[in-house]
Amino acid sequence: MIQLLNNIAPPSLQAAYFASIQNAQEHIVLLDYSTFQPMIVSAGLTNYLGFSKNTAADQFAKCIDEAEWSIFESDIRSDKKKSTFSLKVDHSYYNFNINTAQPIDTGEKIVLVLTLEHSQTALQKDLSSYLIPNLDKFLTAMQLGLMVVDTEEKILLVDNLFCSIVGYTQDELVGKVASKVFLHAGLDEFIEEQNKNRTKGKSDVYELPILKKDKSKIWLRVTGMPLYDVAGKMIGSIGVHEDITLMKTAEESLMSLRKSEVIQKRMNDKLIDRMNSKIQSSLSELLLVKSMLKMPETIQFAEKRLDDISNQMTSVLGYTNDFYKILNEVAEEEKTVFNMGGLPFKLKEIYSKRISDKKLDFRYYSDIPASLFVKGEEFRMFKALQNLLETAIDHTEKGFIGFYAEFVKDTGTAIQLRFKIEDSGSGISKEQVASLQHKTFNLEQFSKVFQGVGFGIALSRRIFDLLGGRMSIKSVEGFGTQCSIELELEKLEKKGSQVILKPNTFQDFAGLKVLLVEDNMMCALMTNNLLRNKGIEVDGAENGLAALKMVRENYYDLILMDIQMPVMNGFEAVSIIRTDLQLKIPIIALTAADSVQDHEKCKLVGFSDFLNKPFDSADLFDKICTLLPKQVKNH
Amino acid sequence: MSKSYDLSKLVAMSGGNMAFVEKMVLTFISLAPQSIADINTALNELDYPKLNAAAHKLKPSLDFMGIGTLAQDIRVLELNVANLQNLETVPELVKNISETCLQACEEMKQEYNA
Repeated sequence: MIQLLNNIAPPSLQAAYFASIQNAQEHIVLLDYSTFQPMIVSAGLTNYLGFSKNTAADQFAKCIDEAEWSIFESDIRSDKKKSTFSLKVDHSYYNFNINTAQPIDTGEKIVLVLTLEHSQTALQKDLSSYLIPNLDKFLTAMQLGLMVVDTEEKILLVDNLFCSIVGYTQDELVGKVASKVFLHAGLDEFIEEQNKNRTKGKSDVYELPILKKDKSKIWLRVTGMPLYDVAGKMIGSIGVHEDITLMKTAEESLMSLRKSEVIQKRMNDKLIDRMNSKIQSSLSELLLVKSMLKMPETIQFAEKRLDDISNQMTSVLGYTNDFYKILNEVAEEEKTVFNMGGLPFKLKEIYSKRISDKKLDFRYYSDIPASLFVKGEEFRMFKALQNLLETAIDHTEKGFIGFYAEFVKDTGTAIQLRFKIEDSGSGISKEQVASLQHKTFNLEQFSKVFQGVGFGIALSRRIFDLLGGRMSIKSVEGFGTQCSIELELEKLEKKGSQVILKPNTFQDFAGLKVLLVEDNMMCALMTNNLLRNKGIEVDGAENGLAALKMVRENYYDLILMDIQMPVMNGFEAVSIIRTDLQLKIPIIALTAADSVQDHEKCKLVGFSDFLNKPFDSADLFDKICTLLPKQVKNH
Repeated sequence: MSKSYDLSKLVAMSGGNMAFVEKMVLTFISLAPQSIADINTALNELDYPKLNAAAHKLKPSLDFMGIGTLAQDIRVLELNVANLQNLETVPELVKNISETCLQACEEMKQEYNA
């Protein structure tokens, strides 16, 4: 209900009343009831808002949010008991509740006297504008990034430096929940603890790993402190952040180095134990051999014993070399060109005898082309396969050893191979298999399988990791172990007379009939063997004249012909085949001559192509494929 | 002492067929001394075309058997006698080829009980 001031007091008293409002220390504002514009602001409210005494009413009017004010006005006019409004003064928001709203009729106009109390839920919404100017220079100088969050961890403000540290823009961060943007899993409890400290008013300094926008990990040193509103209520926290990644990386490296040193020392000790044991056993064997050599009837056994000792010592030396190379992460061996096809056979040659001496069945298979030249770390690869075979033989007393080498795929730029080494030996424990299968086979994993049966396998796993291969292990204790390796090697391209050979695994030559004209028995043997291994039917002639007779009487898909032969050489024979017999049958010259002139002459007389002896089988079959594209079946 | 021959290439070319490798070795042991004798006879008779033919015939066998130290010598010998050049080097080349080749044969005989 509107009081009529002119009814209760004369004009002089009215003036005194308005003056008392103006001087009051309470928060009071007097509005024109019709326009709802402020007329008088009390001294207490003027001071609180930082207004000047003479212009307080105008300043008050300018700080009003029009939309909010009209709602407030409507609430007052409808006599709602709970009404609030806010003022934006500079960069801060001041929220007010209405304590009393008293309309007074002065006779001339109706005014409204509002006594206010500031809201306990006031929130400083526009922190960036007023904090940054004050802190920016300081923080930049200190290389400290600023972030302000509310009590729900929602980001209210970040400065440019913080953004540059974490790789986000301000727009990407403001409004997001900080822990969800930056933190790894597992840090929830830690952050919760920090938040509790804030609510208790505690400041804190802590180090925290976070994720940048590109998901790389960095370390921050955070100085966090609670943030209060003007009424003293905690509304969030403010944190300054220092990027300490470099320092932490150095610390971590140091820790890792110390850990590696400890592991390495432990493994060194074990290696020495192992070597001691092998050397002692070899010495005992040597003493035995010495006594055997004194008796004629045991001399033959001594020889075998010496072989065993030699094998044992070789394996000790091999392990030692590999071990130090691997532990010290020796830089990768220089890649060389080597014949991958020969490697399985070499291993077979080395271990066949040892396996048969142990009365074990050797299951061997390789379909890697005999002359498959690749680029890679031959020595390491050989050692890794050797370790696996050694381990299999050492720990198998009955049954079999298997070594399988498979050509998987030619990708055009690389050759994919698969190896499998298996045995029916003692097997290894589940724990060791688990460690050997571990995705990241680091020194720690290595140390777990270092002992006993796992030693050679662990070395090989480590080597194949370094070679970019993939090794998997299956084992059942008491039944045996199976190690499978997948490896990709760089393929070579053919350049001039250099060999690089595409494997011919997928071509089927069976059914072809070839005449081989060769007077050199060793060359004839070798070529015949190569052809027959591919299912090709071969007839032989030892000079050009014999070849002519064969050609007249039989059909051949292809002729392979030596040049220098007694009775009639290759040039003469081909000349007759082309001119007199008028046959277009493909003829490849097999020549031991290296000169260009000879090659030119070959073409001139009618040879279809030529091969220098001794030639690689892949070269031979490449040429056959080229000359007989229809007869060779491609699979 | 290391062996004067290396069968790894032969093993690879034969696809790991050790029986075939042995057959090749035995063939070499039986044929190489005659080839060496032919070369020496041709040299004594200064019959260079014959010497050329004999050297040419022996060349692939030396390669098969991996007698690496002779790979260059046999080619130089063949080239010199074919072109009748540097003939003063021929006796020494023939001597070296003969000795090394026969030495390899002896070693193979030992290893293969031939």
